[in-house]
Amino acid sequence: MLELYHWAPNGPWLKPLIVLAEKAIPCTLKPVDVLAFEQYGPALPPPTLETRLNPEGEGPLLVHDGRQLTESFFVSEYLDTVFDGPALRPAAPIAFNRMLAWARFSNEVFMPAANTLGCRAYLAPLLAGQTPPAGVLDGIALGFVADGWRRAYAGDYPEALVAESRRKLGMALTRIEGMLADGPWLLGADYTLADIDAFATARALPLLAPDLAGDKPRFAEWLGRVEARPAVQAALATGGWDRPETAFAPGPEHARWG
Amino acid sequence: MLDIYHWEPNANAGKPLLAAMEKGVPFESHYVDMLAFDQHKPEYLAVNPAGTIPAMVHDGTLIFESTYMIDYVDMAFDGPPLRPAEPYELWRMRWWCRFFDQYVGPATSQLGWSTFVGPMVRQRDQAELKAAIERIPTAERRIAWTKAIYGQFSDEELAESRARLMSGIKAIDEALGDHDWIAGDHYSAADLAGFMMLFGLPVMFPEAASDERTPAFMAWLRRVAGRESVRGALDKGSGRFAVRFRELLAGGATDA
Repeated sequence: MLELYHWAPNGPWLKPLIVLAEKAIPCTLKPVDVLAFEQYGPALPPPTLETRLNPEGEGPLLVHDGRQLTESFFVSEYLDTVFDGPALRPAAPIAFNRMLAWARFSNEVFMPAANTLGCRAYLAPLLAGQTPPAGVLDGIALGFVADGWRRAYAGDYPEALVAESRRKLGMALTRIEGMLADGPWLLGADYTLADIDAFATARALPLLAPDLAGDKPRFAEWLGRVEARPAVQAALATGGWDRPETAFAPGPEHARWG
Repeated sequence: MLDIYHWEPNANAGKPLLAAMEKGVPFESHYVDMLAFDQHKPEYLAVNPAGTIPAMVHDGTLIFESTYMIDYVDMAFDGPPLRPAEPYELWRMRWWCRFFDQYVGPATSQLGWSTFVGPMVRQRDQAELKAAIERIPTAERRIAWTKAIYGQFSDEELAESRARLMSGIKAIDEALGDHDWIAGDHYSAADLAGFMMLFGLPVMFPEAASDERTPAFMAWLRRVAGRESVRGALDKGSGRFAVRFRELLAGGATDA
């Protein structure tokens, strides 16, 4: 049995939804209201070590025959490894290395930067004037995830953090624009998990940083090319969300060192 | 032709070395003296423009990211597998590699740099140090080196790193409670990468890693340390880090 616990089709939640659709994998979808903190309650199975310490922050949970898997890129890789359908991982070792290197950059630079700006623009206004339910934040195992929620409740986004996030988005856009010099997809001729991973975060960039995204023509075309895929359209329609690209909850931390 | 540019077989630099040796792949070893800032000199930047160690070059193509150099070696060459064939174990390998790279690794490295690397480098000529920092090609690495060289880690940062190691090593200890290797029943890239990142901890920070506090973690370190490939990888360095392995294998290693 395969179940995916997910929130809005944006960011980390969008990646496995696209993979399921691309490969036509039968899966029971279990919507979770992240803003109501359902992910820390009885709606989900009791968390394993890897679920509790998920370095991604808030994100999807896949349960396959009772085994829990977290971390959206690695969940996507798992789905592609286990199930039939069009391959989303390249066969050539060098392309595979480029895909994994993209995933790491995405985890440590691209996702934290977009997440900070997304939480600032869309989550903090939703939470303004509210207080978190008693005890919930203290029960979150990873300190940076609880801190991300506290920051959003307080609307506390110092100018330096915003500037640093914008700098990182600029780096990511430059990297994507460069990768697209050799073909329609990030790794060249073939559509892969790198495109799915990047798209899930990039979809909000025209909203979060229109000035940075605006002068990247290859990026804009690629964004449209991914979005036009029927599987991506199907994934984006999950749950009937209005503007899912504005759904943000605290994500991975900015790299602390090195 | 496989070329590996590395410093001592420790942390990131140890990963490709150990991967090639475990897999039985012949390679050319190039020692880069990190403390002499060889990694920022033009000869090295011609190989790896990011100026980071290690670098791996296969038939003229640069392979990215030390953790994923292990995957590359496994995919591109014959030899014993470095990744589990079973998809759930493969996922566990990935998850824990990320936990090492992003959670306990940076904390370990920060303690190591503030305790060892910074003081070693700080004795150099000031003008030479300044010029060395200016040659660093990326902003991230310039900030990291500046902090290390001038001992600019705040008490708060170091306390956070220690707290992460206290909880992080406990988590690894818990994960190893019902199987021998990080991913499950098979030795994999996660053991290799985790070992290289963490084997110095029992000496450097015994409060977090000791036989009393984290017995499964310590037994795992010794299991990895006993592998022929790990002993072989040690010979690729100056011997500075080999001392830590000897203490580990002897079973004690609680005295810094």
